[in-house]
Amino acid sequence: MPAWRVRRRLATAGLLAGLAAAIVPVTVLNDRFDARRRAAPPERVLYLPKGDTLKFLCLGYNGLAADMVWIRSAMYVGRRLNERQAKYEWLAKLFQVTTDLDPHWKRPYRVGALLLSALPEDDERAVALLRKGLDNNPGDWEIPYRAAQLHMLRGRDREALKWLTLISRTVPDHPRVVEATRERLLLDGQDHAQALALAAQELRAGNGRVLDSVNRLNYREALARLTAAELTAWRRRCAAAGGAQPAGVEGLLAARFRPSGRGDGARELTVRDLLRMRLEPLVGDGESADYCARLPADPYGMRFHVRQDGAVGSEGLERIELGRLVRTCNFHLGKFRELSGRPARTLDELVGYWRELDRRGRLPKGLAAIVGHPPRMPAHPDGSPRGWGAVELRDGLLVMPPGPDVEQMLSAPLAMPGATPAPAR
Amino acid sequence: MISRVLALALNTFREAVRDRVLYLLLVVGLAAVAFSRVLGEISVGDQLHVIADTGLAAVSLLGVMLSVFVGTGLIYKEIDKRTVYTILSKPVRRGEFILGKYLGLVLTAGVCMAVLSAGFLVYYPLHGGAVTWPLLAALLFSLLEVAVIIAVAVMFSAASTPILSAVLTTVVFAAGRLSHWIPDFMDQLGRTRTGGSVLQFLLQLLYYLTPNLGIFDLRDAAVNDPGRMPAAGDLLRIAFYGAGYAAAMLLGATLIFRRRRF
Repeated sequence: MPAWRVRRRLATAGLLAGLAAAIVPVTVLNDRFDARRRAAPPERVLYLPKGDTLKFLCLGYNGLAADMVWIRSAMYVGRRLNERQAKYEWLAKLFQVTTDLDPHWKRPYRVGALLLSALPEDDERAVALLRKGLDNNPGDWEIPYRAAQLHMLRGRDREALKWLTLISRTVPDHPRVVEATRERLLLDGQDHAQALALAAQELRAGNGRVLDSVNRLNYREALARLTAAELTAWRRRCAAAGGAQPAGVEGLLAARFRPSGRGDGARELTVRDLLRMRLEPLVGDGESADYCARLPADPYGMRFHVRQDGAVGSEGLERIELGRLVRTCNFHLGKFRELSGRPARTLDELVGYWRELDRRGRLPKGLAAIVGHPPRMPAHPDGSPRGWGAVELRDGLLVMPPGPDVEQMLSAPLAMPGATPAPAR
Repeated sequence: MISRVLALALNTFREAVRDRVLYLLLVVGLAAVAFSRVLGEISVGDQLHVIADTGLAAVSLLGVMLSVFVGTGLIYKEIDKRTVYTILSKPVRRGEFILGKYLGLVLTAGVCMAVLSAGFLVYYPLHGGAVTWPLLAALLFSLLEVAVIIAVAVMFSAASTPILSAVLTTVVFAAGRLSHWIPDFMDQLGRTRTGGSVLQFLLQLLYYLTPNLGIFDLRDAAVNDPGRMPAAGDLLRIAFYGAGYAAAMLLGATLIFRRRRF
């Protein structure tokens, strides 16, 4: 081999070695930076300018920018679900920026509201997002329908009815389901069945990991509310029949009735069977049978019980609602601490802070629905939730009474539509 | 005259397609369209929206980059390499030279954007999307927008160096994309009564001087709500506006080029 060729090959080999020597440290350093970035809390890595500023910066490619922020939101939720953290403090802002950038893209309103209402359980922001969506897309019926669904899920039927009426008055070509739901709400009052059927339908369709997690939460809540409402109705029927009131929920489930609409000759069935038949068309035969066999266990692994007012309630749902109320109060106790520089010593101080907000006209609407005008001691709209008396104020924050945590309740065994097993939040 | 302009245009096209930057941009654009599927996967169920947004933005960005990278050096290169002497020593008017160069580059951009659009229009239905006329209109109006930007680039190229032309064209593009904010800004100034009538006049002047590129952007309507597409008459008016603005820029380029001494 001539000398020049040897020299050339040596030079090539030297260059390749240099390239490898450069790539290795670069890769190692990159991994290290990435690990540091991952370890940092999302607040540090998730800085986002306001939607209007971004709109200016992206020179008209708003749709693409909105997609990127939307994907970032999905990754943020996925990461929080993986880490099993219930903090979603940036979620509302991410949806705000996405919808500022692309106000006519409807999915972020619908899915964003669903996620906001289910993960940080921030119904107020969820409804505000849907209202913004409706302002930007006045001809769309699905956005206000999602708001109605959200209210139905929470048992706020009057609010749901307002949204449904809005659709039927302002969106001419809305589908039949809107009128059907509206009629049922007007006729029957609470429509948990519709909320349950929708959650089951969504789970059956499968919408990916993030949305399925949310729909599973909604499914449990709607199932608990519907069961409680049905059992309350059967209990009232027992009282109306004039017989002895069955002892507790166990007794009620064993009580026998003739199914309505089948004539006098029909065989009597237990309330458990009647409930199973009621649930079958909504959630499916297998799911209904499995759930009813576990009764009086509620969908959260706790129990249905007869409340003091005679209605049937779900212990799990009551604990979840108590948790919501405690979180709302703690958010405001945090604000109180920021403003006054010290933690609140009594709940009266918190009420005083709310009254001050109310006097200035700055009391959030959602909070006003809970604490009233003028604000009084916190209580749930349906009355003080069970366990409120056991909530303690420690170091300026409310502490939940002992009991199963949310994660434990949400991983309680429950047959649900859809193939994947129910994960914990 | 037409044959001379066409000969110049075809020659410019042949010259431009030899530029490797063109292929690089095209490959990047096609890769972006292909990658949009991955992005769509993590978009919580709105894959089609992401693919459509990315595809349309890639086509538009390819055209804009092409105008800036290739268009701004178009005339300068001819002067620098002295090939302009050979051309202008023949019976070719300077205006014809500018028009030929412009049409050649529009043809190049059109071919590149058509290739990328074809890639997108094949890829999109593969994922369940429907190729609708609003989508095609959005692609066509992206080309019209690029034709306006190329006219601006040619004007700057006739007057200055490629780097300065590229900077100025980019500034005009950005200003054009944001020009619809100027009336809002003027309203704001009027309400707060800050800034005198001179500032108002300058803003008004800026508003009319910069091309209103926002009107060519039909992507939002095409992707989100085809019902919000402008009517056929409005689309025609937008096309006339684009043609008028490009013609004005080319006349400006001719005026500058006529005064140049080689």
